Parts: sequence; structure tokens; C-alpha cells
Amino acid sequence: MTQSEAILEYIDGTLDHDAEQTLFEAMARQPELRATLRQFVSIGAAVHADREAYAPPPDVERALMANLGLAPNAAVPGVGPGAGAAGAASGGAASGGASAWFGTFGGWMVSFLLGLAVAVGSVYLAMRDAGGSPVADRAPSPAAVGAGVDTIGLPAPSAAPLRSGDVAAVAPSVVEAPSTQQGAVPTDMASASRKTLRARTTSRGATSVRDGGIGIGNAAQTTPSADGAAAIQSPVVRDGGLGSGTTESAIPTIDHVGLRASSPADVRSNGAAASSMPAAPAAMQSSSIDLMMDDPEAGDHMIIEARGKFDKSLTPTNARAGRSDGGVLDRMAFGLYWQPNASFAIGVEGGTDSYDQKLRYDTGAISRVEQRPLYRWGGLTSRIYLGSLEGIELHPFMQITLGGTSVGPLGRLRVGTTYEFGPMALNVGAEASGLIYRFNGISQMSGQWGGTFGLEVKPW
Amino acid sequence: MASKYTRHTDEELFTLMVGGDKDAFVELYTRYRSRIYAYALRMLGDRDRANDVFQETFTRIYHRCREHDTQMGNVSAYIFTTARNLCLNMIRNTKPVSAVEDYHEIVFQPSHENLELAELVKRSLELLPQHHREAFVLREYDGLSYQEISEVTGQSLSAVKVHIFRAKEKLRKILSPYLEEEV
Repeated sequence: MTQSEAILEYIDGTLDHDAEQTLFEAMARQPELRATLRQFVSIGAAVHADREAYAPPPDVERALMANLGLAPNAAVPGVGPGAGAAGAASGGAASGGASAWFGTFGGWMVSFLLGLAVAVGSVYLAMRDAGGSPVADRAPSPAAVGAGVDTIGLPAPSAAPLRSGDVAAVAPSVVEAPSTQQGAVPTDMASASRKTLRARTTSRGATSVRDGGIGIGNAAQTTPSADGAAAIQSPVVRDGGLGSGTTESAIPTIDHVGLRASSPADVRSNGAAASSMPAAPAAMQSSSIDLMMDDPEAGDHMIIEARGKFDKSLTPTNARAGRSDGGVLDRMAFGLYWQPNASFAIGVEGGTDSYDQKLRYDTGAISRVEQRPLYRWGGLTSRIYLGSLEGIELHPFMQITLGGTSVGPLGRLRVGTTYEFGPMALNVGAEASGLIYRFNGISQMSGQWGGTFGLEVKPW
Repeated sequence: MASKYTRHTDEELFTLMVGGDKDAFVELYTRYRSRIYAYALRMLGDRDRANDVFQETFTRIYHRCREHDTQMGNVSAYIFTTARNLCLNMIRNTKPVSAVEDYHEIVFQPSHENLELAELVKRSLELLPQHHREAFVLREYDGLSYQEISEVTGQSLSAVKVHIFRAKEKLRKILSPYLEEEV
């Protein structure tokens, strides 16, 4: 063993007692050995003073955590002094059993209650709109009739409440219009009992259809216009606004008058008398639109849906998708709906999705961690059909989902359309969603938007 | 707030990681982050490459733990071996920045006179042969025992001791002009 080796072993504490005594005696005689000892000690001290070597750059640690897709409650204690507490805080800053429980299940519970409220509200509104009983069965109410008449752009006299005689007089004009196009003029209103009714009227003054409720028999009322021509009064009666006493005699076979016009569809009138409409030129007819009534037999069935999506974050980060970044398989969703009628459906849906997150640290070397973990989500959903376009079997809809993930509540808004073929349907649409999560005692939100595509089956 | 796993051994943490416990990984990461980074930085002498090795080391450990059995005999050696293999791959794919014979010129440039000893040690490390540098870093920076260094590097215990001694001796000689002034 050389003297340098003996010095190093002495520093390491592995030099035995006899060799140590020998080394001390040598150092007492040789100043260069003492200098060697001091130099080795200095190098060791310099190594331990090399703080730079022991401190990974914050951005590197951020990127690492992001790439690993750690959940918010998987904070990195030691990385930042507040990080450990931050991780605990993500669970709701639990203090006590009740708080801990709420921190764990509170998001789910709130989400469930919100979803339930939306679902119940949707059912109520849909049932009311659908007319739990057909309009024809409702008792007539002059007040309701009056309130249901839209008088936009029309002279004052036309704002008078409809009377049964008025309706009876003009009802054929509405029915004859589509019949003319089809080349078969119905002889009575019974011929209008088909489920689809085309309202083809034109007017110089734009008249709006409101509330999606177009009364059939009362849709037109001849009213003298300023130039002496008969004008069609606004064919607008709010859903259920016209009682059976007004319409039964005129439209005895139409069992559902709630026309699901998708919002304000303009129906125009050229100022001609209703009776002249069958002779209207082709140009006029081409300006008309088709509106499709609800099919009262279209409801009361189940729908199973599987869909995928492509999305873009509304709160982008530099993080890659966490865990299993399996592409479209990580963006799948499945739904089970009950559709009691043609207007709406209610159900549950769930799937997997990634949300960008920016986890902020208050103190410590790391100020923020970005990540994009993959979550399983689920919730209650309500789908409202906005109408349909005849001939191409497209059914636009709007869908709202309230649910949750393991880290917080989630909401989704989706608009799209289905294309039906037999018991199946394809759907496409756009979707925006937001996830609320907590980290370090702060509630934050992550959102995304994108397109969806799916397949629906109606097994029964 | 202290982690709930502070009293667990590395091996126990690894077993929990295999079971999908992310907190166990965080605890293990906390224990080794500084040492792995120091090892990578001083072995490679380049911050960018050290960053890459640092991230890749823990990423591999995080993902590979699920491929292992629940038992891991020496987690420390496993982690350091992972980092070491990544460093060696990177060294193989990179030409040396400076030749050993240039070290006097590099270390004792006038601009370095005011640098602290730690900076001089760092620069001097880059001049050592790879085996010497590695043994020195594992011993001095990471605090591994000779036996642990032997397990990580796959070298005999005596070879490890020799590498460490030669590394320290060479560093002392490289730095002796500065050290004589300091001491």
C-alpha cells in the first residue's frame, strides 16, 4: 500500500489502527504527506459543495412528470417544499373523515346531482313540449289562442284571436299547397293525416315561425293586406296554443300538431290569397322549405352508441398524453339512451379522455408541472332532437352531459346530427367539454373541443 | 408534508410500484433524483445530455417496473445501472470534447482562476478515463459503497478500489497547483 492509498483509506475510515499509526508517524515527518491529505480532503469537500450537480433543472423535472402522466394528487414531495401538501390538497385538503370522504367522492356526488337535475328537467320539458296529450285533446282557451298568435309585421286587425270559423275557412290553403306539388289535391283535411306536412307558403313580409310549434289548421288566416290582396297571417301558434275546439273540426285526423321546426324557420307569403297558392309559380315553390313533424311513433326505444373523437385542447400544455396514449381508443365513449319520443333521449355515457393540466406550485424550485393524464369519465346525459330534414333522414340534436372523473366534475356539450338507416344510425358532431380539478387548494379547469363520429343501434 | 412511504425501503417501494402505486414511485424518485442527476451530469459533463439521461432513466423505471416481478433485490443498483447504461450509450455515440493531454491548458486558463474548487473538480473529471471518472462519481457524488459500485459497474471490488484511487490521485495531481494555493 502506498502512502497515498493509506491516506485515502484513512479518509474513508477503512484504515486499520496499526496502519493509521504508521501513517501519522510518516505525516509527522513529511510535510508533503500532510499536504496530500489536505488536498484529498479539499477535493472531497469540493464535491459535496457542488450543489449544481445535485439539482435537476426544474423544467427537466416538469417535463419528466408530464411525460409520466402523473395524476394531480401524485405530487413530488421534495421537488418543492409545498409540493407534498399540494398533493394532499388535491384530494380536497382533507381534514377529518368527512372532509376526506367528500374530497374523494364529492366531485362524483355533485356531478351526479347536477346530471340528475338536468336529466329530470329535460324529461319534464320534453314531455311538456311533446304534449303528453295531443294538442287536439286540450281544452280550448281563448287566452291561449290569443297568446299563441304571432303578429309580427302584420297590421293590427290580424292580431285578433283566431276563431274557429277563421281557421276552418283557411285551413285548406295550407293543406293544398303541398298537395299541388305532389299533384294530388286532397278533398278534405283527412288527407293531411300523414305524419309529414309540408308548409309551403310565401309572403312579401317575412313571417317567423316561433317556438317550433306550427299549428296546422290555424296556420293560415286570410287577412286583407294593404294592397288589397289577402295575406297569410303569421302561421305561428305556439305549441298547444290552439285548443281542440278550434282545430278538431278543421283537422280531424292530425293527431299531433307540434311541428318540430328547428327554430325560426321563415315561411314566406307572396301576398296572394290563400286560395291562389296552388297556382303559384315554380319559383315561389322553390323558395319554400320542408319541415317535418315529429313522428309520434318514433320514440320509446333504447339507443346504444359508440363514438370516437378527435380533439384539441382549449388549455394546451407541452405535455404529451399520459399513460396509454393509444390514439382513438383513448378517446372512445359509449352511451346508453332511452328515447321516449322523437324529441329527446336520456341516458348515461362514459369513456376515456385526456385533459391538459397545469399544476401550479406556490413554492419550491418547480413553479408548475404540466401533464395530460388519461381519465375515465362517466355521467348522465340528455339529448334533445332539434328537428329533422325530410328525405335525407338527418336528425340534428344537442346533447348535454354532466358527470365526473376521479379528479373532479366534468361537463360536455355536443351538437351533431344522426343519419338513420334501418335500426342503425351514424352520427357526426362537434363537442366541447370541460373538467374541473383541484390542485394545491386551487380549482382549475381544463377544456377541449373537437369533432365526434359514432354509430348508434336501436336494439329495441 | 412527509410522504407516507418515507420509512419504506427501496425494495418495498418498488413492490408497490409494480402494483401501480404512483406515490411509491414519487418517493423513490425523491430519493434518487439528486444522485442520478449528479451521476449523469458528472459522467457526461454536459447538461443537455445529462437532462436527457435523467429523464429517460426515471421514465424507463416507471414503465418497466410493471414488467418485473414484485421482488427486486437491489433497487439502488437497478436504478444506477439504468442510468449508467444510458450514459454509456451516449458516450459511445459522442466524441470526446477534449483530449486528456489538453487538461493543463483547460484547467489553468486565467479565466478559471476565480472559479471555485468545485468547478475545477468538475472540469478535471472530464479529463479522467471513463472507468476512473465513473468510479469516482459513484463514490464521491452518489455515496455508494465499494460493493455497490461493484454491483452497478459489474467490476470486481478490487478493480473498483483501484479505479477510485487512481481517479482521486489523478485529480489531486491535476488540481495540485490550485490546491497548493488554497491549502
